[in-house]
Amino acid sequence: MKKLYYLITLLVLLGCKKDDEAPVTSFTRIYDHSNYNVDYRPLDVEEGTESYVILATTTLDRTQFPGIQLVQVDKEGEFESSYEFSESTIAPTSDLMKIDTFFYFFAMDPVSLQASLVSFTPGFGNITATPLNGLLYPLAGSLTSDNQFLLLSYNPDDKLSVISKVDRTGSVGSTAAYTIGPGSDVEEAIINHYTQPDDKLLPFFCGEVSGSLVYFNGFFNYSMSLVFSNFSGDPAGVVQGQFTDAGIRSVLPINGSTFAISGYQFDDNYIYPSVTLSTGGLSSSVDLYTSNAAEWRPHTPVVLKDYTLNEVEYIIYAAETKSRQIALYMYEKNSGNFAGLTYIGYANPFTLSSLTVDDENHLVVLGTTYVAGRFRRIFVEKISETDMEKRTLKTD
Amino acid sequence: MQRDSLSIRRLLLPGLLLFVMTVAEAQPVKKPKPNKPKYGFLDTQFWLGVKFGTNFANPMAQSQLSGFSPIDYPSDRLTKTYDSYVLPGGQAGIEMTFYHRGFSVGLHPMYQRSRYRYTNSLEWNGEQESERFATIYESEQRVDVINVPIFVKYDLIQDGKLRPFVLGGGFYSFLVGAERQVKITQTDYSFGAPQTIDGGTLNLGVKDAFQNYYGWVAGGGASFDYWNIRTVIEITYNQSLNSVTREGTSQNELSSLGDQNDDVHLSHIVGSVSFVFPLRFIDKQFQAL
Repeated sequence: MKKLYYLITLLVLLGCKKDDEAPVTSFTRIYDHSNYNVDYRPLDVEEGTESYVILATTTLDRTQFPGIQLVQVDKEGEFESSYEFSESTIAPTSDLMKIDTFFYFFAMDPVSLQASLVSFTPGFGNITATPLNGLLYPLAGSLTSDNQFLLLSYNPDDKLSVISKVDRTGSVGSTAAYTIGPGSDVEEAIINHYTQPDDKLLPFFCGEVSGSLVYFNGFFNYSMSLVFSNFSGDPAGVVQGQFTDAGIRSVLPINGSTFAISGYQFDDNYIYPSVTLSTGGLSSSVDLYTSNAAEWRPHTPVVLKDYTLNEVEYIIYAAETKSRQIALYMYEKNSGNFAGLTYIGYANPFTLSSLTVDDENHLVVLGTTYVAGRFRRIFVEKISETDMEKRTLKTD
Repeated sequence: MQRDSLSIRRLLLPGLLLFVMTVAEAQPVKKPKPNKPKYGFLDTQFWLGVKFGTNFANPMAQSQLSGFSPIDYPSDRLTKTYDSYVLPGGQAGIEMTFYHRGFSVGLHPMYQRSRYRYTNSLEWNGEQESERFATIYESEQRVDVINVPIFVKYDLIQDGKLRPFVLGGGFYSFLVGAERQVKITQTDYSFGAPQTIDGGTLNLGVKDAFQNYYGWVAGGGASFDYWNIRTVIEITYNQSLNSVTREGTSQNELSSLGDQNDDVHLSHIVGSVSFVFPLRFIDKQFQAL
């Protein structure tokens, strides 16, 4: 009998130990609006000093092109303020970039179709839109290692894909323009990319391999192709797609000509956490396709992001699943081996827009969910470093 | 919002009546019994038996949290409405009590299920009359714990077959499981007349969003000695001193619905019946019997 008492007393004492430290930084917030007809489509999120800033599109009354909405939330995810641009600045590219305390993105004038560099500070102060002379149809942007910007645009008059380097003042530096080749026009596909973003969004993007070598995914030789450029007359290398039916969907440079990529082949998707691409010659994305990532829905956006956990470098592949969740796949960057997986979303559909890693190494996922199965609303899920380890690197 | 005061009265009244009746009934048998050995036997004794009963939970939200962050309306529209002492739970376990001259110390480990309910709603409106949609989420929370209370009990009458008592103590509850059932009801005005639609019922495992909890307990009751069995009827009130929910967790199944656990302290009104047996061998005087 005494032994039984001792045993129960021991159990009580063991139970009195402090619970595991609660991860207080993780949250999921859905930004609801009571208006039946409001429809936000977020594009990107960036960390501010005391906030996260969201770049989103919204519907406009007088044009099919999307308008621009900025939303600021605090570090706990609570809505703080929003700002809606006038109809004279529309169609933002999917890249919100930050240098020092300023945020930047590319947008378009609805009349002249001219690209502009828009900048603002937290709280939506100092908003300026600087026209970029001669650059039309802005399609994608990215930040370079020397704190300038790359802009992919399209010249409909000469049928050129144009990659340009732009500094913070809106001055256009190095530029290379590549003909999309003979054949039918792609302008309709580009306009549909702006006006019908929910229907097979074309994977325009650009970035930097090294200081002198840049890449863009855009029209070349009448296909969505991955083009490597030194800003010279001819591309340094091309991974040729197959019109809009096959090509590369996302790229993350690893080292030299080694990349993490995702691609698509009609309705199929494929993944290469580590693959060598020909940055100095001609190859075909069709040759890269081996098997379908069966869980992913056709034409899903795929976002790749570097992430370091316990001093191990990973690449996160984020994509939408056929069950309308968001899947986050983790691969070890050095080996390319699969390391873990977690999901966002349950019951209501979820869509993916962007990922960012904040200064405290928390992963911030941006997308939409359909509240009550019908009202599209922005969501932000912040996954703390601790939760990233618990949720993704499961060993059981 | 909370209907606890009415419900507490409703539940405490029968308990009080039982207590008064027990005391009243116990008076005639108060005089000492001539059977000295038996009296001595009851002076110091271990009791062991089974205990079971029902409980009604009262969730006390210390702060209101939501997975929604409204852009154009005040956040108090997202407030949840809790129902108190409405859904019956249950518990069963063993009772171990050491008694000495009117005082008892008891350890009663029990498997306990608590149930409580809350509702919240959302509504969207457009410019047209038909552009209106409302949804109500009715959530029933079930929390399963191994509850380990330690009681100190005092018998108000220390002999006779009926012994009323009062008790107080503390408890620690080890979380075993937590499930939530969310019933969604939608009202759509786009059909001309409002149509109520069953939005389905979701069953979610939410153990990760809960944690162990501890608190205090007080109550009273009466024991009845017949044959070699002591029957104990007991009504207690207990209250947790920490939150039963885990702060800062963001569980996918909950957050996807815009739901987030409040910081909830739980209190219970617990009714139990025990059947306990004396362990005679510890009393040397009775080893010869």
